[in-house]
Amino acid sequence: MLRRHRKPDHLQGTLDLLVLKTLSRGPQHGYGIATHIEQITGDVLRVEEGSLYPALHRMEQSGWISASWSLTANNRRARLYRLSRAGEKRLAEEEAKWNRLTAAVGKVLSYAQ
Amino acid sequence: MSWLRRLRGTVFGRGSDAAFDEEMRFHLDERTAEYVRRGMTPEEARHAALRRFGSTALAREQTRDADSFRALGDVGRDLRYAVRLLVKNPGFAAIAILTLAIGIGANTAIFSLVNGLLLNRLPVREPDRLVLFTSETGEGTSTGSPPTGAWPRFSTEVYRHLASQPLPLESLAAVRSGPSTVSVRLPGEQTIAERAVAHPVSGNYFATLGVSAAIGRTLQPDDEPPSAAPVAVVSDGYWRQQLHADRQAIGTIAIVNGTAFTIVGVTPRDFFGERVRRAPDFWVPLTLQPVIELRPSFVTQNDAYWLNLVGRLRPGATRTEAARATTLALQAFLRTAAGANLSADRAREIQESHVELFDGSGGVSGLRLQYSEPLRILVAVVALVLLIACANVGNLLLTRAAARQREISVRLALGAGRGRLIRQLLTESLLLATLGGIAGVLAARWVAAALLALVSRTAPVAATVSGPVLLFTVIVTTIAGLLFGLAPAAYAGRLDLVGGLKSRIGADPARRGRLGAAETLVVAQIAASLVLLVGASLFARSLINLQRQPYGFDEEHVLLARYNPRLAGYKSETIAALHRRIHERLAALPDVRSATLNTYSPFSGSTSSNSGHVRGYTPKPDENVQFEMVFVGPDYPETLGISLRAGRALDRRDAAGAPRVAMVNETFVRTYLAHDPAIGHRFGFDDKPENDIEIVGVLADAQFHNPKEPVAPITFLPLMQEASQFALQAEAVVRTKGDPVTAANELRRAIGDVDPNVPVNDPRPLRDQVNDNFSSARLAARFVGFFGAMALLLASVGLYGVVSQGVARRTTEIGVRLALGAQRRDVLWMVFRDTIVLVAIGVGVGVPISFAAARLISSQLFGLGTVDGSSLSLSIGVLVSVAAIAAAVPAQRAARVDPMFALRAE
Repeated sequence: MLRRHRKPDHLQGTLDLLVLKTLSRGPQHGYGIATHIEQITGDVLRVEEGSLYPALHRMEQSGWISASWSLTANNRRARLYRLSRAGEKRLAEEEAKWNRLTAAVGKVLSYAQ
Repeated sequence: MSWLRRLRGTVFGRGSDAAFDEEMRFHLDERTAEYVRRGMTPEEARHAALRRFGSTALAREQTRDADSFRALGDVGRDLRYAVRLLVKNPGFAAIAILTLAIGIGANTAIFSLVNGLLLNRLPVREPDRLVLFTSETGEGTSTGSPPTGAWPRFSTEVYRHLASQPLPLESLAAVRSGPSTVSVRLPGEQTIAERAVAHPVSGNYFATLGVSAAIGRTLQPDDEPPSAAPVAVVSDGYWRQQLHADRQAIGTIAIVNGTAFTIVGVTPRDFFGERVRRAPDFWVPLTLQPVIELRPSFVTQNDAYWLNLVGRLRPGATRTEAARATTLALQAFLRTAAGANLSADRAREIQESHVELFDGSGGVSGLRLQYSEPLRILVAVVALVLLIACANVGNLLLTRAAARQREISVRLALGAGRGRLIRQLLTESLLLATLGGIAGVLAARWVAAALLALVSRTAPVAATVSGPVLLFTVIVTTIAGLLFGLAPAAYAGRLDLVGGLKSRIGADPARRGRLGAAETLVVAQIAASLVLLVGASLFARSLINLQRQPYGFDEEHVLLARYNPRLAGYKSETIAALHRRIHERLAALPDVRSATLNTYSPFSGSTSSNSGHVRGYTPKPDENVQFEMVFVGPDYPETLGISLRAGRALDRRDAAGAPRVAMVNETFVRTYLAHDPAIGHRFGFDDKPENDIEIVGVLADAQFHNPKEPVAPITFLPLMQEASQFALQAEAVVRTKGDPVTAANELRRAIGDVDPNVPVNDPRPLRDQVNDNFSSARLAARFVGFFGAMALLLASVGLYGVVSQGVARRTTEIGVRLALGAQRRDVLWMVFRDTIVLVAIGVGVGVPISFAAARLISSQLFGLGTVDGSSLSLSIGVLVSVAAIAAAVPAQRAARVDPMFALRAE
């Protein structure tokens, strides 16, 4: 709505997908989400940490994820995000969309060969 | 619900920032720890983590945006900023808020009165569908031939006929034109009979108004037939006070004028009937009128026009079509009644007979009729006060905007949008307006209560700060905020960036020779104040005229007390003796100079007149010879202070059996006996010569009614000679030696000594009765004067501000002038000259507006045509003196400028 006039983030959709997928494994804090994505992709995808938190808060406002403060193993307060029912639905949609997209791109690439 | 969370984020913006910082710190600490694990020194690790994260400020900003509505967040920031500014300038804030409180408070108070008096609707079901057959408050009975023209009152026969016709009215109810005082005894109580007010109404009255009983039931059509047992519905007030709010009282008996009535119900608390005034204590069926009024029945008397009608329109029907249909039904009835041999004159009269229907949603309100005009004027007056207040605050803000010129320029230079800046300034204005509005509402409650006390103590009118009033205040406040916020906002909008950043010292050459925004506002204030001052002096002089006007009688030291022998069971045969004994008893009281009796006194609001004839006087064609009849006792002229011009006063001789005699006033003589000697002349009320009345005295003209109208021909007839219904109620009048109020108990006791069963009203001075007639003039005079003074005060503050500002701006210039040898008085004159120019322009604008305004209020003025020289010169004089005082302080300051100091400040 009111934030629409902001510069559009081309990777936003992708970041959302990665975050939601990560959270589908269980609750996680922002740092955890970032390191998880880096580790899984072997540092191929590095999350813009500066944009991660606004994205998390935006998704929270959209109701896809919820957040709560909790204590970590070494007794520090961390903000834990977890996937909500709406977030699961959103993840399924985003995943399907991504799969369609990559499949389509794959077709183009294989045809060119 | 995400908007709710966002709203929370918007409102608690700071809290969410702190939370985000903690979240970010955790992230950075974890990242740092990771880098340390990889072998970096803690310092290197920290820096790397920060580099990796990017701009923390940007992240915080974006997160905050995600958490809140951006525009609302801006408003929140603007608001916080505005509050900080106000707190930093408490003096400015206090003056601005006080000024606005006066303006908004005055408007709220007047509107609450307008709302209570003019706009309030009857507390009944769908009041919009109610129609009244008269908008007048006059009540009474006329007997004889049917009314011609518009019918305000109806006979039982005509009412029954109209009610039976298929009209666009769902139902048609009748009420006795005026309630009556009755004596009530409640069985089981040891009390003596108490007075109460009873109002006969038709059985469908409550159904027509759409009111159901709070307890028990209301009246029904079944209660009406003469065979039905007498029943009564009591008002909530009566039930609470006299019946001790006892539910068991329903079904019990009250003895009203000696007849047993069963109390069947209590009306809702806020219900008072179709007339806006204190509710009657009892509502009884119409057919019981003879019992209530202790006189022969009007119910069966077909030439008695004694009923007011109230109707409820069918859904979708309009007043116009209902009036047309009812008029046709009325005319048809009258034609049938006139029979076959209908004269041409009578046919034309019937053709002209009609009903007028009035909007009944607000009921009939005497206060509304009396005060709507002064209230309209007050609405205009307080609107002017608000404008002046807005101009003042606008001026203050403008001054501050000029002082903030550099700040604003810096913000513009740093890339703030002009729109954003204007919004910031408007936020400040609206904040001020809101604070002023809150203070104003608080003040308005007092003012409204004071106003209402002036208007009426008994009418069910509430001038409280209710929902509609608050809504009005919110609208006024918003408009005010935008109005005075516009000036500085416009200023910021066209601010020259480069000029603003440059030095702000030195005279402003652009200002010379023409009026700046601040000066224009001050001129407008002066003009508006002048209009209000002229208005106030006109109202004050009008009131003085009304009160000083010689009315032909002397109202000082006169005490009045009505008494009602009818309720004590007196009949025509026994009444004269009672009056005589009361008169003798009163005349013998030690504090009494002289005493008399009358049926009504001047300015009592009562009147009684009859058509008659004067021997030897031939009426002009179409002239209806009619004179007022006042029945009076002995010593009438000296007690009322009306001079006896010729002949003798009525005295003890003029009793039953003696020749019929009368006094008349000078207008009577002038009108009917211009060429004949008045004394010894005869007049009469019927054609029988033996009933003629001889004139024995001529009294000077005394005004009995509206002072704006000429005195009518009046006949004064001997009360003790009168054996009709007229004589069954009278008023004792005594001229006291000292303060009339102190004789009140003596007067009451004296009547009680003669017959303790005769009810006596509270005695009141004639002076109060006369003054009551000027209450709307007094209301206008007091409040226009009060608000005029407020306006003047505000305008002088505005003028002071502008002159001070001018002096401050020109301090350097003044210093240079003084250094170059100018005299102190030159400087004084320089400042005063500017003031004189402003005041002169303001007066020049204000005078023509005053004349126009005076024309608008001329109907409210007594003895004044338009703006007169003395009112105008007085107002201008007051205005100029106050302006001189307002300018004197800054002028002194200017004259005391130290040239060295002023130049060093450069």
